[in-house]
Formats: sequence, C-alpha cells, structure tokens
Amino acid sequence: MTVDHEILEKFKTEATLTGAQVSVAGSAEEAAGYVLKLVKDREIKIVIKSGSPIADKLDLTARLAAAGVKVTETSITQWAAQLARGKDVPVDELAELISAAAGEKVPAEPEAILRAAKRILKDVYAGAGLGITQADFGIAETGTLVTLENEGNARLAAILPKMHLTLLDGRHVAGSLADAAELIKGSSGGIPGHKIPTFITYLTGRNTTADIPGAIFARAQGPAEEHILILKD
Amino acid sequence: MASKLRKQVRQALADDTLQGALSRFTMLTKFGRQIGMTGIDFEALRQDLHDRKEKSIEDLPTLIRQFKENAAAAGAIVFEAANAGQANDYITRLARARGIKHVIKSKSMLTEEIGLRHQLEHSGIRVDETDIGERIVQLAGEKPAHIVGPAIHKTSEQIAALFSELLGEQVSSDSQPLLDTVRESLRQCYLDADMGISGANIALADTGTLVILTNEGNGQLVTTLSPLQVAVVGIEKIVHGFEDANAILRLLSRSCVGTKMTIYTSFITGTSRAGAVSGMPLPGGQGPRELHIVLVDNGRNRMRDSDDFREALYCIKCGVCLNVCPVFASLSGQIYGHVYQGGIGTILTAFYHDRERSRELSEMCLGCMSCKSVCPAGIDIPGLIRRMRAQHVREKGLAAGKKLAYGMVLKHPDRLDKAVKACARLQGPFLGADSMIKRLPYPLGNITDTISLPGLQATMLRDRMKGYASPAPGKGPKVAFYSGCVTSYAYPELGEEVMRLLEKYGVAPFYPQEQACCGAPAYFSGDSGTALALAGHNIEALSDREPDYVVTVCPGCAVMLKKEFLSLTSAEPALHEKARRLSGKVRDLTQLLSELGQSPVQRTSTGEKVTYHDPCHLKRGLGISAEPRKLIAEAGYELVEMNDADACCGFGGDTLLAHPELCGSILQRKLANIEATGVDTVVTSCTACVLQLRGGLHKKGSPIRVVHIAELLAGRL
Repeated sequence: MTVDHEILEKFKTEATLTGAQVSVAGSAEEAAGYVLKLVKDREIKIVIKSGSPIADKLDLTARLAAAGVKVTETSITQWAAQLARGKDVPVDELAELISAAAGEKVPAEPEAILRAAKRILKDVYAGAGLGITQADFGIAETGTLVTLENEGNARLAAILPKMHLTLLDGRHVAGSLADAAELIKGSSGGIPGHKIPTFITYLTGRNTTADIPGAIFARAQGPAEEHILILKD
Repeated sequence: MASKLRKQVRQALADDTLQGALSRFTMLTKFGRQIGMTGIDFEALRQDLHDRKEKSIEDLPTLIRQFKENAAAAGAIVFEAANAGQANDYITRLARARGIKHVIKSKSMLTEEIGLRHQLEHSGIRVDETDIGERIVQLAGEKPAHIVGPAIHKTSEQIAALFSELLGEQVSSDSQPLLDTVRESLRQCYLDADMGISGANIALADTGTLVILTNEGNGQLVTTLSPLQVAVVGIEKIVHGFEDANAILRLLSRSCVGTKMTIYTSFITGTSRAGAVSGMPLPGGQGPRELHIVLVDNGRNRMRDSDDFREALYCIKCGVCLNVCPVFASLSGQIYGHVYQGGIGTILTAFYHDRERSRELSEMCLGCMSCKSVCPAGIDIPGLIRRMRAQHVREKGLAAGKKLAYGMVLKHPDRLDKAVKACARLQGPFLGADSMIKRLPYPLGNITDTISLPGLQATMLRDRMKGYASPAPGKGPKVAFYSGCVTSYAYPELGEEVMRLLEKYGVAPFYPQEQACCGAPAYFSGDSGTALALAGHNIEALSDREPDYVVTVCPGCAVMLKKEFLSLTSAEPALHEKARRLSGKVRDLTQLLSELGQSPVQRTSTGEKVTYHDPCHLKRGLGISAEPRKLIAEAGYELVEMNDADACCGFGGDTLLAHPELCGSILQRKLANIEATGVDTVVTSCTACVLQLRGGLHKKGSPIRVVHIAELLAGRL
C-alpha cells in the first residue's frame, strides 16, 4: 500500500478546516522531532498514550522519557507491563505492584485488578498534558480520524488530557464516508458476538460549544488543541 | 378573550432579553447553514436520506428484531418499552438494584419526552446533565428551548447566576472564564458518577450499534467512564446499517450547525473488553461492562400506522426547521409547552403528549414553508400541520364562525360576491379618506391592530371583466386570468392592469366569469369538504374555453391550482385527470411573462431604486425567485436587495386572527428590512403580501409605496 497523494492532500485540507493542526512528517526522525518540539513548546511533563505502531516505530516513549517527560500507557495490558518494567511477572507480583500504585491492597484476581486499574487510570487521564493515540485511518471527504478499539482507553486518552495528538499513517486514508464504512465492515470485532469493534470513534476537528453566549466555537469539554501528525514514510 | 397561548406569546414578544438572544441565534444559524450547504448537492442528498428513512420506517418491525439480536449478541441487554412509564420504571429499578447514587447524562430529547430525569431524582438519585446547554436548563428548572441548543435563550449573566448558586461562589459572567468554570464543574461529575445515560442519534440493525453524536465531547465521557450504561433509543432511530447512517451524518450537522460532521461521532456496539495481564484475561474493558438499551415506542408505532403522519418519523432531530421558522424566531422554544418545538414539534406533541396543545400550536403556523425547504429528510412539515387541522375538523367539526364563513359563503361564489357588496356598503364609517380601514370592531379588530385594511370595492373585478368573458380569436395563446379574492374584491384595478399587460405581450387574455375562491382559507383550516367543492368548481371554470395558460397574481392561489387540487381530487379519477391538465397550464404572471419573452415594457432606465419581497408561496411553493428580479431590472429599475428578502411577511390568514401580535412581530421585522434599504418602493408578486405590507406601512404612517409587479410593469408600457 502506498500513499495516495490526492486523497492525502484532500484529507489535510479538510482536517485543517475543521480546526485541527495538521503536520506531515517525511521520516520517522522528523515525526519524533515534531512530538518532542510540541511537548517542549507546551511545557508538557505528563503524556499518556494508547497502543500505536507508529509511536513504537519512532521509539517515542524512550525519546520522551529522555526529554524528561513521563509517558503512561493506557491499555490495561500495556499499563501493567509498564508497571512490571516490561518483565513477564506472575499475577501475585503484579497485584503487589498495583497495590503499591493504588495505595491499598489489591487482591490478585481479575475483577479486583480491573477495578483498581480503571480507578488509577482515571486520574492519569485527567492529569495528563497530552494524549497520544493512533487513528486506524482518516476520511478525506470530511477530515475525520477513525479509531477502532474494544477497550475504551483510546477514546479516553483522546478526550481527557489538555491536548490531543493523533498519529496517522499517510497510507491509511479513505476517500469518503462510504469507503470508511467498507473498511469498518471488513474489520473484525475480535470479540465473540461482535460484528465490529466495541468503539468506533470518528473525530472531526476540535470540540466546541455554542451554549455560552459570546464564546462561539470555544473549546468545550475535550482538549484545548487537536493535533494530527501524518507519517508519510 | 385571549387564550393562554396568546398570553404566553405576548409575554415572549415583550421579553427584550429573549428577543435579543433570539436575534443573535437566528443570525448565527443562518450563517452556519450557508456554510454547511456549500459544495454539496442538497436536493440529491436529501432525496437519498428521505428514501432511506422511508424504507427504514417501512421495514421497522424487521429492523427492531435484527437490532435486538445483534445488540444482544454483542453483550447488550435490550428492553422494549411500550410507553414512558415502562421505560422510566425499567431504568429506575435498574439503578436501584445496582445501588446507584449518581447518574451522568448526555443530551437526549427522548429522555426529556419521557421525563426520566425527574423520575430518577424522585427516587433519590442525583442526575447531572452534561451537555452544557442542557445543564443550564436543568439548573434553571426549565425545558429545552431548542432540540439542539437547549439554552439558546439564556444570557451569560443568567448562566453565571445559575452556576454561582450551584457552586456557592461568585462565577464570572465573562464568556471564557464562565466556560472554564462550567467545564471544571462537569469534569468532577464524570469522575464521581456511577452510571451513564445517553440517547442515540441513530441505531444500526445490521450490527446492533448505537451512534451517538456530540460536539462538546460529553457523549464520549458519559458513554465510557461508568461501567453501567443505559441508552434510551426511540424505535424510529433504527436504520439498516452504515450506508443509512452516512446519509444522516452527511446532512445532520451541515443543516443545523454548518459543519461537515459532528465533532465526535461514536459507534458503540455492545460491551467493552480489555486484553490480559500476567496471562490472565480481564473480565471487561474501560468502557461499559453492562449496557442496557431501552427501545421506546411511546406513540411511534401509532404514528407509523397513520398514513397522514408517518413521515414525521423521518425526522433526524437536526433542528434546522426551528432555525428558519419565523414563529420560533419570535418566541423561542419554551412556548410549545412540552418537549418538541416548532412545526415538527407540533406534530410530535400530538402523539407523545397532548393533542389539544398540538391543535392550539398548529394555529401559529403561517404556512411559509421555510421548514419544508430546508428539511434534510424532505418532510412536508406544513402539510403535516394542515393534516393535523383537518383531523381535528373531522373529529370535532369546524368552529361556528368558520363553518358559516367557509361552508355557507366561501363555497358559493355568488353569495361571496353578495357578502362583499354588502360589506362594501357597510364599511363607510370605518373607511379613511385614503380608502384604508385603520380600525374594525371585534373580532376583526385583531387584524386591524396589526395592519390597516384596504376598503372593499363595490364594483368588483368580475363585474369589470364582463367584456373579457372569452379570448379574442386569433390574438395568440389563450390565457385565462385567475384573479384570486384579494384582487377581485380589494384591488380590482390591479386585475385590469394585468389584462392590459397581457394584451401588450401579444396573448389573448380572458376572465372566466365562473371562477371562485381557490379554497385556500378552508383547506388550510382543515375544511377539506369546502376545499374540494371549490376545487371542483374552479377546475370546471378554468377548463372551459380550453386556455393554453392559466395565469395568477397570487402564488397562494397558484399553489392551490397547481398542486393542492391534485391531492384534493385524488379520490375522483375524472376530476383528478382534469386537475392534472389544469396543473400543467398554471403559471405565475412573472413566469408566464418570462416564458413569452418579447417584452413590450420600456427598457430605458427610470433612475429609480426599488426593493423586492419574495412571497413564500412563489419562492418556496413554486420555486420562482429569479424571474421577477429580471423583469424589474429589464423595466429600468435598480434593484436594491433587502436582508432576508424571502422571509415571510406575516400574512397568515387564520393566524392573523388567532395571534395578531405574533404576525405583527414577523411583519415588523420585514418592514425594518425594507426600510433599511432606503428605497421608497417595495415590489412583490403576491396580492396577499401587497395587502399585508401596505397595511403594515399604512399603520406606521410610512411613505414607502408597495406595488405588485404587474402594476410596476404596466406603468412602463
């Protein structure tokens, strides 16, 4: 699959019109530079992220850490792996690590671990300066970013932090809403009984409200800035 | 004696704060829609959406079954509620059984419709609305003013006062700090709550998916953060799948706000799942672990079963019909009394809440067709209102005064002529030196409070047209002139000018002596019997002598002749066939003159400036707006466009009697736009608009002259 330049240009134009700040990186190096500059300019110290092949390719977590920025994973699997410093730990050991993070005893059973993880992550989301997520694809017709997931962490990472950055592979842009529907129908839910994933989120621009007079198109309840970084490589 | 509704109308009109908020709102949404409609083929997209909604409602029983199966397979629990009580009980019992103390809600008109919040609060559960507008009206203890913008009627000072009381501290009314305060206070609600309730804009049968749209992002938070989720969904929201959803998404936000897409569009299917930790699968994800979907009927199947009202179910709740409604723009949404506002709200109120209120509300509709012209689902809202009135007449009969006026007089042209002649003799004491009537006794005083009326002419047009009973042979196309009542009785000299103009255009005009009232007043009041009788009478009268064209100077009459006669006669094949032939011959005067070409009108510049008012029935009823402008320019006048040239002048027949203040307010807005052009002549091409505009300007003592385009052109022969 290669980049369709016409569709990508249309996407950039439309996404910019929606109020998002769109940038294109020609290389992994350039992309990493963009993120590092963004956190430096905005003086961001805490970043959260959802699973992203692009971020992995850029080695973003390590680079941000080197710049003094704390990066927390938001999928519970990856968050737990982070707690265990990447080691494969038995569940008892993991429960102890989570207990330490939660400041209370968490039993080594799935229900308790899930509850504790969600409670801790709620604070992490709300305290972050930047949320980084990766869109599965864009839609050129409307400048929309589409994210598919079953867990719900990506949509929370996209809305609760002060700022949001979406990473997008330049090869993954659908032309129209109709094309996007075909891509979605072809995606498997990965959960028995689900024909499609639990959450499919279309994000088109930065959140707004017109409910307060005099603050038309002002930031509403989500991030103050929406950034899109397209990796063309 | 003024009705309660009329008193509420007066209050709203006298509320300067409200009026200020409304005029800002109207300006903003007008601008938004202009942007939203740029670069798309609206007519094609709305036809597609209309067809898809029509099909979905047709297939509804199957779609409900498919939706239930697919949602259940994905882990949701679906409950079907026949009415509001069942839905509320189910949700309240669920909350109690789970020990819920605090609910967060995203905006849902359906939950307003069934009164869910109050029921939960009654059970001791705290409920926080999270849409900022909805939160404001919740704190104010009011109902939403608009489907999409619940708090459009509030000023920032009023909003700051509400949050100051809630938070126990002085909140700034400066927009930005106020918004920051509102956001922060809502953030805390999300983190504290233990149950989320949302609606759904669309539901997909193919996959059991809910589609939830918010611009603020509150929908994302409500539907994700709490492990226990309830979605309350009207059954009419179910469509087949993504193709149908796309048709809605393409027009919903464009119509109401003007953006291409709503900012957050979430497709939610079943419950959430996470991966595994330490090789151990987790029992759920970070979103809902328990998702209840309450499918609500509450009158929707009854509407589906009704041939007259089924299309109201195609509504996608975008609110654009409110944004363009002159009545809404004068009053805001709370006047409607229940939950749904405007013309569509009038219909929904009848099925979901209160038929008597609905009937009362239907009296406010001016029939200007603004809503119909912008509805992305192609719903004929004025048609629904008319059918609502007809249903009322069928069940309860006509009011005594109307029964007499329509059945005994209007229906019979000879009696109407006699009645007009009698009135012309009696009007003397009320007539001014300029032949205008400034004041009449009750009940007609309601009208003269708003406009001065022209005196009736004793020698009516029918008498003046005796020499034109048939077309002159060999003088070109035969053109039957259908004058309409306003011309016949109030402005017969205008009718004479029309004949002169037509002759100069090289056609053979004639005046069918048997023509009668087109029946519009009876038709729009719901008196279909009188309307059908008059349709039959006119179809015969206008088919006689086989004219090539039937020309009108009142587009209200033209729409009756061209369109409504067809639907009125649908049960009588022979008459219907004649109506169809007539329909093809009907032309508005400006349309016919444009088709004829070879204008006899002088083209030299007059050096005069005029402005032009688009009659509702000409622009939106017949789709004609370029022709009159071209004719005005060709006749040597410079056209100065007014703001909102196609906004209704407020002439609404019955509405003028029931709600004179409302019509007056709509008229005053039109007059202000005319005055703002600085010209001293306003041209229009509808005799009813001429009557209304002349009457309004006369009442004000304005020197601005109102002329029908026929007079303007005849003056340049």
